[in-house]
Amino acid sequence: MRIVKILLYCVACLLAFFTAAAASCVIRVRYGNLTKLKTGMAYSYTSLFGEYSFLQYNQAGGEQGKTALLDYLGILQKIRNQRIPYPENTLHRDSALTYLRLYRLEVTANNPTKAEQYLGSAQTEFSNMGKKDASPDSLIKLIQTREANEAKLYNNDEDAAFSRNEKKP
Amino acid sequence: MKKAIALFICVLLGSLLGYFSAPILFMWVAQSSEPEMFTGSMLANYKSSVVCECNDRPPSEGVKELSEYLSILKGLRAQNQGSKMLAQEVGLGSVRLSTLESKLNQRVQADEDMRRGQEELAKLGWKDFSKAHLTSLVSQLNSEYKPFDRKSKTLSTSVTAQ
Repeated sequence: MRIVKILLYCVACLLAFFTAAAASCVIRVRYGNLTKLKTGMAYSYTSLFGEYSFLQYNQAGGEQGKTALLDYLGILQKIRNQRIPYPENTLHRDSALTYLRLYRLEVTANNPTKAEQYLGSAQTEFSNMGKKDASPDSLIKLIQTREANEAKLYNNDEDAAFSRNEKKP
Repeated sequence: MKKAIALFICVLLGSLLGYFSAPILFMWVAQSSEPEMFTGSMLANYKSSVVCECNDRPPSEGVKELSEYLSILKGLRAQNQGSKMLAQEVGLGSVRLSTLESKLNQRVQADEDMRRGQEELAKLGWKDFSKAHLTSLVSQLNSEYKPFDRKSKTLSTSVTAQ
């Protein structure tokens, strides 16, 4: 009888040990700094992929650029869907800029309908992040200015941005 | 009383074990549930330490680190042959390696790595893959990496500032 009691007590101790271990582990993962680790992971990954998609857009353009930008949008969407703690405004901003780049590629490819859709999506993202002036004209101007700066930095080209097709859809 | 103390010690030890093993468990869960994001983030962190021009390291050390980075990239690419992101990284990595080898006067190796980089980037549809352009591009990209800082000034999205 005594042996049974000792055994039961040992089982209770083990149970308490493992329950406490599981509880503290879950609490730390759920409410501790580890949520920041997940955010950091997502941040690093989007930074790497964002650079890739930007370079494909900036250096290759056309279908290659489009595919890379759409893949990047997919990753941003995944972060949103999985509710990974990530600054909301950064997601809106990155998505908006990607939509604007897609808009530019569609304008160049002479696909006005798709270009219009991407411009609309960019507007929505900017509105969601509280940008006051998200009119189509201001966004077109914004992406053109940005492209001109990027052309200077990454293509050593003063006129590259404006050598693209400038007509509106 | 003794039994209660022993039980309390078990709970305490269990709590400590759970607390300190949480990061390992978290990494394991992250790796198995999101392998792409996990590998991508590890690669991004490794890349920023290799590419960063902030360490004042000699070119010979840079060549060694970049070669290791490239071999890791090639290993990952062998597992994921369709990845264009890895292809681009291999291409740019080869160009980076070539520029460092040029500084060390290893001309033959530098030309070979530049050629490899050009081939990779040409396959990705890059319009200008001349040596001069790629060297200047890589130099610009390297300058944007800061220690313990995520690159955000030009490549990412400071749209609202404009």
